[in-house]
Amino acid sequence: MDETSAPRVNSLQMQSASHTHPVDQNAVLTVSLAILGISLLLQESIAGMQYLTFLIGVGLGITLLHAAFGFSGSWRLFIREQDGTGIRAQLLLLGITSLLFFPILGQVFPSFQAGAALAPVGTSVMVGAFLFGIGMQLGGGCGSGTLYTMGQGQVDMLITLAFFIVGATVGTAHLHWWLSLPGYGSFSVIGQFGWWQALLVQLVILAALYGLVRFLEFRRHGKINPVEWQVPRHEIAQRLTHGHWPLWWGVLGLAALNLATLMVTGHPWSITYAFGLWGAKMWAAVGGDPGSWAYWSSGYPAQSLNSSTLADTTSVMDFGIILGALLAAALAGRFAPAMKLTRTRVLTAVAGGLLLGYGARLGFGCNIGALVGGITSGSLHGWLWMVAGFCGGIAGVHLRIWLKVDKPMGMQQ
Amino acid sequence: MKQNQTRMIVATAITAAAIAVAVDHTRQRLPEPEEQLASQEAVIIIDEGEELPVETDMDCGKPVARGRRDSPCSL
Repeated sequence: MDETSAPRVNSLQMQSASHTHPVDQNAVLTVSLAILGISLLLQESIAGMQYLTFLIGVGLGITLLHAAFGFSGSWRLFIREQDGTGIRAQLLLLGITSLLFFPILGQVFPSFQAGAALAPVGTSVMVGAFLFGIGMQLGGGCGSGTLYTMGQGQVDMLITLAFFIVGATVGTAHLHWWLSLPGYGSFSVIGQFGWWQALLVQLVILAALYGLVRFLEFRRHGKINPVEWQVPRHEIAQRLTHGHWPLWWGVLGLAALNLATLMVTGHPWSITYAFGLWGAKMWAAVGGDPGSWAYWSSGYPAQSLNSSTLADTTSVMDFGIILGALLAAALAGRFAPAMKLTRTRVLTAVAGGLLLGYGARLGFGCNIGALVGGITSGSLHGWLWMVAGFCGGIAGVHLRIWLKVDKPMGMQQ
Repeated sequence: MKQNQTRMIVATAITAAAIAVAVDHTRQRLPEPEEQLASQEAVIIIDEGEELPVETDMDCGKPVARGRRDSPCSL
């Protein structure tokens, strides 16, 4: 099972009895010790609240895996079969996170200040998100999906992640050229209209999209799959520990942890900046000079390139997500599943990873940093990212059919 | 690919990554405590109608206040 089949699996899992696989005790013990050790190391050697950032990442990894919360699979299900369950869960996540973020970013609480994920609206974001959308379908995961399925022990996602890093690094080398193409600068709806007016408009738009997805789903299937939230009372503790969580639990967990990220780090949850950083550091380690590239020559990038990886909040959160997903997979007895790695799968993982990485740099982030972070920060680039990324997703779905990874439209997978 | 093989591959990859991070950690300068603490306090300054220059060194919109650019936000 990969992240791309997550929503369908999630709904099926909800109908089945709860946990059935034996807990992988060795993996649980090893990963728990690793999480404890890394937390202590961060507390000891990195000042500030980096250990909390890491633990939030662990929580995100557990939530993503137990709720099987993915973007690429749910987009593909909607494009192919108008099954909108996963997309509706994402819209709920956007709405709830906006409710939490807008007052904070609108400075309703003057004592607490945090930064919005603002980025320019322009060609770079549009092209980047489109490429990322294709990459999601070929690579088998999005920004968060790649990390948590890799943490689950899916070998093909290791390939996707490796080339995600390569693509992101190349993207940092080219970004300045892309930014020279037409664009409009950044646009904050909170700054422009005020936080509550902007929130109201945003919630109306999200509700309209939710209604549209429901309408299309009903027109195709004659019924609506609910976004699950209930489990039998006697199963709650077991489900919390071993999974499988209803999608609603995933929505609430991700929104709460994104808020925690904002409060601890001062910025919304982001993932892919770290991939470019890791690639640049590796390039430097083999004799390259990424510090001479415009992207890495000033500001935070220059600072992070010349500091420990453990001082970068995004890197530390990403490590937490991988280990959190690994822990959750071990608790669910689903760590490192046996799989068949075909030549086609290797090729799509390579191509998808490159597109994901390059697209994420051009798009100022992935589905998390740009789509969720951007939209819930009131940045217009987040909405542009969503539209362009979804168009890329449609192209990616057709590419999968052309490559014979999936059956033609209208045929059941 | 059997489960033992996938476990071995994943464990090897994670171990290699951990070694790389450890090597990087020992080679690089750590931020001073005050510096690191300050980086946790990103600042938002939303000036109505102001457009940002198209640069990569924006920091969550514009928190270059305090003369710092210390967040990966939107990068």
